[in-house]
Amino acid sequence: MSDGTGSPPHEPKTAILSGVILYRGTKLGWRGNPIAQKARITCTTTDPFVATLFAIECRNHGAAVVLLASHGPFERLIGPPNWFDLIESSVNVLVTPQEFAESAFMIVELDRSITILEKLGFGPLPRRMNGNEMLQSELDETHRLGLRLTLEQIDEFNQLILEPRHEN
Amino acid sequence: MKTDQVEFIVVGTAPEEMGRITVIGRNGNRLIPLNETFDAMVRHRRRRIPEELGAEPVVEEERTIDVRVVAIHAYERSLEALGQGMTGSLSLEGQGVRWLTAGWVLTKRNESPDVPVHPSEATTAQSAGS
Repeated sequence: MSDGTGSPPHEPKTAILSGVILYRGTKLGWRGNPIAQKARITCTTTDPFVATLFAIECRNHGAAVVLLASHGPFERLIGPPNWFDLIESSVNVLVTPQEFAESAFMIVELDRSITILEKLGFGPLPRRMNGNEMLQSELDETHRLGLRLTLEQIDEFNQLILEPRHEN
Repeated sequence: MKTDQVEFIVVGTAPEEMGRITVIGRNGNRLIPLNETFDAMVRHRRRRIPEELGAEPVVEEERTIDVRVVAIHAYERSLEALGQGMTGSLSLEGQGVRWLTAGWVLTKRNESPDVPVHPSEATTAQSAGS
């Protein structure tokens, strides 16, 4: 698993860019709520913008991150739909949140994800959201406004995420 | 309202049947088990610009209700509880259910959490990428 500062160690870059990636905005080390753990279900999304909104809310609870995992291992583990899947571009996978986190090939710090999305024209994004009501409101409103990444923009997001950072 | 209070954000409702109403929405940051009760519903002032989204919500309207959760559904199954941050439906019965429409938040009046709330109890927003 990479720390978001460079190419992932386990997969060639081309495979990542051409494949489908599942994103999940969460708190670093979060094992999931007891119900999700028991039901072995984890909500992920195909849209990094949506995952980033979730991660912004998670900042209230700890170190917020966006997890990236390849879709492949979960192909036969797609779970039932839930409410609001459409607005969240959701893919519900039949593993616990912790198992999903362990399968992520990259962990991206929230601020980096925000910076890249804003670079792609999805801004300004809030740095904080006060609770799940605000999160739901933002999910609804941004969906209504059509603020979701196209496939080309997702590719661009992935490329920027994979670029090594040059820090002093 | 503190975000660690029991709350359920109502996004939609199904028509009332035999005194019971089903609300669809998102849970807050506390587990909602079957038989959970709510005694208030609040509507917050709308916040739009990014700088406002992190601020404490301001209650615009509040009503007293007395409702109980009699069924919970999510992921096409019945659940014994709705986890933190999860979306799902709650079937409710009691006084005031007919007032519930999208935009209201079910909550408890003057509740002060007496149990640890996430993250220390390993219960927080389901967060996800949804």
